[in-house]
Amino acid sequence: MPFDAHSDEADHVLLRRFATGDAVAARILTLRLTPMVFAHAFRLLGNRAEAEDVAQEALLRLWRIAPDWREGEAKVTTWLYRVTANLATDQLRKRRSVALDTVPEPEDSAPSAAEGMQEVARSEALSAALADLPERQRQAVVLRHIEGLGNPEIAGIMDISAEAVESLIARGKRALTQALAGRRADLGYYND
Amino acid sequence: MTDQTQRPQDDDALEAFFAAAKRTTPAPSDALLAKVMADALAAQEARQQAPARQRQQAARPGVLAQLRDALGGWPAFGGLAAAGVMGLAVGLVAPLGQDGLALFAQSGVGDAYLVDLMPELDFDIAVELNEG
Repeated sequence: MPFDAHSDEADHVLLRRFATGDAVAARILTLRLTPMVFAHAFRLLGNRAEAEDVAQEALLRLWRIAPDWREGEAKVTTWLYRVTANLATDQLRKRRSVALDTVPEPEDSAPSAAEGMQEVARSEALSAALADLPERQRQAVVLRHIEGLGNPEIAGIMDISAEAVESLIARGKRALTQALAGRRADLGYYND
Repeated sequence: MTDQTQRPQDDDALEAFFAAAKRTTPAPSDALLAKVMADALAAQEARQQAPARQRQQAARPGVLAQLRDALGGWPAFGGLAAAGVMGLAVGLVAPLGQDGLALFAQSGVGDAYLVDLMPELDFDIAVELNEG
């Protein structure tokens, strides 16, 4: 990703350039933002095909809103996390409304197991446990502990108070601890 | 462990799972990157075409501009405006003008302008009356 590697311009500056028709800015933003949006969508959905659709749609909305982007109101990434989460929530609702036999299966961990990638197996165990959490708990936990965002930014993304974020994360982590308790030994963790 | 208690060692264990998830971040496919890039360029192109249409619409002259052009430009438009102001002024001083006309009629000065354009006609009528 040579363009991204050599660009230290802030997202909102690139978005302003994008709105003027700058193709280089379009390329840098694509390479910079798509991995982040896709990864977040994948962690919320647990399915690659759905995550790709959500990521493409979220970024399409950014391209369309670029000329009207108001700097200082929100970070581009904050806006994208919010749109991605909303689209993922819509996708999860669609899943519930279709027959069970058409629901996409979670990503298979067999290839990683075959390669001896225990870390991937741990990640997928977490992904499976996250999938059983209520949506808002899952989103808060992912944003805090995987994306590494602070509570104030998560509060902005989820449009709730920082205290509510803290509460969602605490409940989510308790549920994850319970869900993963039986898998720790399998996955090489012996610290309880 | 109870449902309401999260022990430090529980947090540590979870943190190990989170760390594994961070290190195995799923990457977007090349196909997705290509689609997102194509969307971006298409959005830019649509944006560039939209202002061009707006410029075309803006280039159409408004009613005032059309009237100005029909009258022959700003000089004629200025003359029309001056004539309008003059007409308004005449209308405002009209009562004074009527007084002036009345005085003019009563003064008798107007008799000097009574001219018989066909005096022979009066003669012919008089002859016929005398003969008749």
